Amino acid sequence: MIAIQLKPDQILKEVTNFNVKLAEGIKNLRNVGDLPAGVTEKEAVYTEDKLTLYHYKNPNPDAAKNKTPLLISYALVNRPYMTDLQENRSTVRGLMEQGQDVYLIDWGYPDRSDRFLTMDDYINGYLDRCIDVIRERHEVDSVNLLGICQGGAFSMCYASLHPDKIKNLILMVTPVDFQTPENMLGKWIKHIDVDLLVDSMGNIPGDLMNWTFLNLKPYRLIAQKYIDMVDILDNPKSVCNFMTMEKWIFDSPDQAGECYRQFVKDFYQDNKLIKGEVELGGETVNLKNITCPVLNIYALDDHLVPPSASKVLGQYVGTKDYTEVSFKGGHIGIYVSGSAQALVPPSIGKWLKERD
Amino acid sequence: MSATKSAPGAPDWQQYWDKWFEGQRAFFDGQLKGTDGAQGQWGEFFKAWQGNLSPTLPGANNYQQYFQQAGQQYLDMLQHFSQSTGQNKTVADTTNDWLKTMQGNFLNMLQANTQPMDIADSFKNTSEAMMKAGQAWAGAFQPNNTGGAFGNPFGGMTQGLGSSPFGNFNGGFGHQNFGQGFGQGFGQNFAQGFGNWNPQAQAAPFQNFDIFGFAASIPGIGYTREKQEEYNELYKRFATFQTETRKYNAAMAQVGIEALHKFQEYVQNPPEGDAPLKSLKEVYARWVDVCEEVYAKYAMSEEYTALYGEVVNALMSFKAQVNHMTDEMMGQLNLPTRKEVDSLHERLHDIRRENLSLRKAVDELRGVKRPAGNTPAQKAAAKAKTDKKGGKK
Repeated sequence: MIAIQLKPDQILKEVTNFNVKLAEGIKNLRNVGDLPAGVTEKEAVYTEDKLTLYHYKNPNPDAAKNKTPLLISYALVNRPYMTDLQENRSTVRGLMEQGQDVYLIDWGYPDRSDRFLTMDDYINGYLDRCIDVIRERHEVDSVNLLGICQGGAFSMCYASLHPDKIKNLILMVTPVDFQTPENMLGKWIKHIDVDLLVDSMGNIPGDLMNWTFLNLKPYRLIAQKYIDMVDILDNPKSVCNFMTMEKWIFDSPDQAGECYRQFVKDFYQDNKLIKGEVELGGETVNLKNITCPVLNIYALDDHLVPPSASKVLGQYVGTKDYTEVSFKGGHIGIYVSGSAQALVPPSIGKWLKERD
Repeated sequence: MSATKSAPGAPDWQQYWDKWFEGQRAFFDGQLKGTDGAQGQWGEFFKAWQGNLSPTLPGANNYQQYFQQAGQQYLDMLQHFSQSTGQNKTVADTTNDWLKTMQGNFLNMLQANTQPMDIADSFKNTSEAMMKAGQAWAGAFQPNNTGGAFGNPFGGMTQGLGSSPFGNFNGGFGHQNFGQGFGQGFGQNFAQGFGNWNPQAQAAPFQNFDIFGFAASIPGIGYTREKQEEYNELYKRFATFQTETRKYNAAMAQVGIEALHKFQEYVQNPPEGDAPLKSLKEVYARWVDVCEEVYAKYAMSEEYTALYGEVVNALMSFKAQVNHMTDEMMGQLNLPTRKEVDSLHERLHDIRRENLSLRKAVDELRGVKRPAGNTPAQKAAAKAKTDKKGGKK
């Protein structure tokens, strides 16, 4: 077999098409306009410092609702509107269609005045107060908590320390064992002097985080992606979709230095979560304390949180009601792909209804 | 080189090309002139894009350069193959020429990062220190032709990903034998050129001509002794960062070279059942797959993680000294320093925590406590009970 079979007429046609699409692309890019940061109507019900707790308004107010409200705790890295990116790509909407009453924490953009926020401040402070607000609003003892990625790790800590306030725990693409062999980030951080990093940088810039993530697959994410983009430049709708995603990817808050320090050292470098050695507010996080039902959703092609990092959770939690759902896709696709929309919110909705 | 012609049962691609070339040359001459401009158009595209979306964005030119370099590999390929349609070349020869060009770029990068460098040339005196510090910091995240620890790994199109699976290349980088190992073209000698490389044996070339370092190692004396020490320290950390960066870039170039090797293997012996690559996009996609495969393997190795740690730590150490000296300067100007502001922030957070704790204690003393007996659900139940009894709604 001949590996490369190119004909000169095809080559010229390809090059010409490339140039034509570039020219068309500028026109379409000029028409992209403002890109949304979330599409579903929501109300801010609580604010503190840079944090905002939102309550989503169900487009169908007559829809049946679960008794227990659901709070989404997103990662500090990147912005939470990934869960509500576009009308047809919205995990939030999918959950509301499943009868969930959805809240979401927007952690905001930390600046240098937030450098000394610790994990304890985030988990036993901000997250706890948001949950209290929801409990008060709905007059319930406990809420359903959906943690995503790093937000999932925070949610596990919270559920361990405040088991009485969590009715059901759902985790999406959440690392549990940070040192599985496939975990590239876990390996990269191994020899980094995190104290020196935080002491030198203060907060960790979002751009630095992004650059690290891009370098997990540099040829694909830094180069090929933009070459492929040319193919869709003549389609205004595709350009808009591309730019919406592009906006989200690079909309990266800085990380509060002290919180980053503990997260990277304790979770990535020392893998303390599964060892039961994470200390928060003077208490030890023991995953065995998580006795509420747990739904663990992971992506099979996740290059940031490999499935092996998530799947081990069942071994460590104390619950007898543990369920796993795997999704054929990547870390981002789990919120936005068509197949994810068809699988993930309905799976969560069904699972929660059975435990409401 | 002749894999295309000799493949059994394959169409005679050479004949096809010759015939096509003769008949269509005049027509496509005009087209060819247009395709030479693909690179320019790509650059103009991002220039227009950046100008449109963020005309005043600081560093917009850097981003444009970044995108230009990101696409460079593909654009070079486009140009290379499109130009070949105007020449009497087989597709196999064209492919090999393209790969040789990339090989040359990788080798340039490797050479640039492994030849002894006069570090003092870029850091001649202490008065330049702060300026260079800022530049180095910014440069660490900017694309450039020789890499940059965290710069665009595609700088100069072929900055690849590094590895040491090349054995023991005794020629050494930056020495007179350098060219010999790589000068044999891309065919069967390709692998041999890298067969004996050993990064451990090549530690010496990473060393810099460090004339200024000699002076920097002399302790300061007199009234400005402490200042001299600060600048000496800055220089040492700068030199360390430069050295680590060069090691990192060299490793990146090595991975690029290995990717080329693997790609050439694929071209010469494609796996059974693989579909042929029938467009430039497919060729490029395959090339990216190979690069990612090689990179992923290396990026998971202990060698890479150690190297990555060293370069990050060197950069942070350098930045720490920059911060320290900047603070000193701000203090002399009677301006608030970062250290002072950080100290205030830290105290503020401590006070807030204490305040929250006290508030909780006061609530408990007042009996406003939330746990057992007064949970939201129990309150709701109590309220419902009251409502049933005719209490206010």
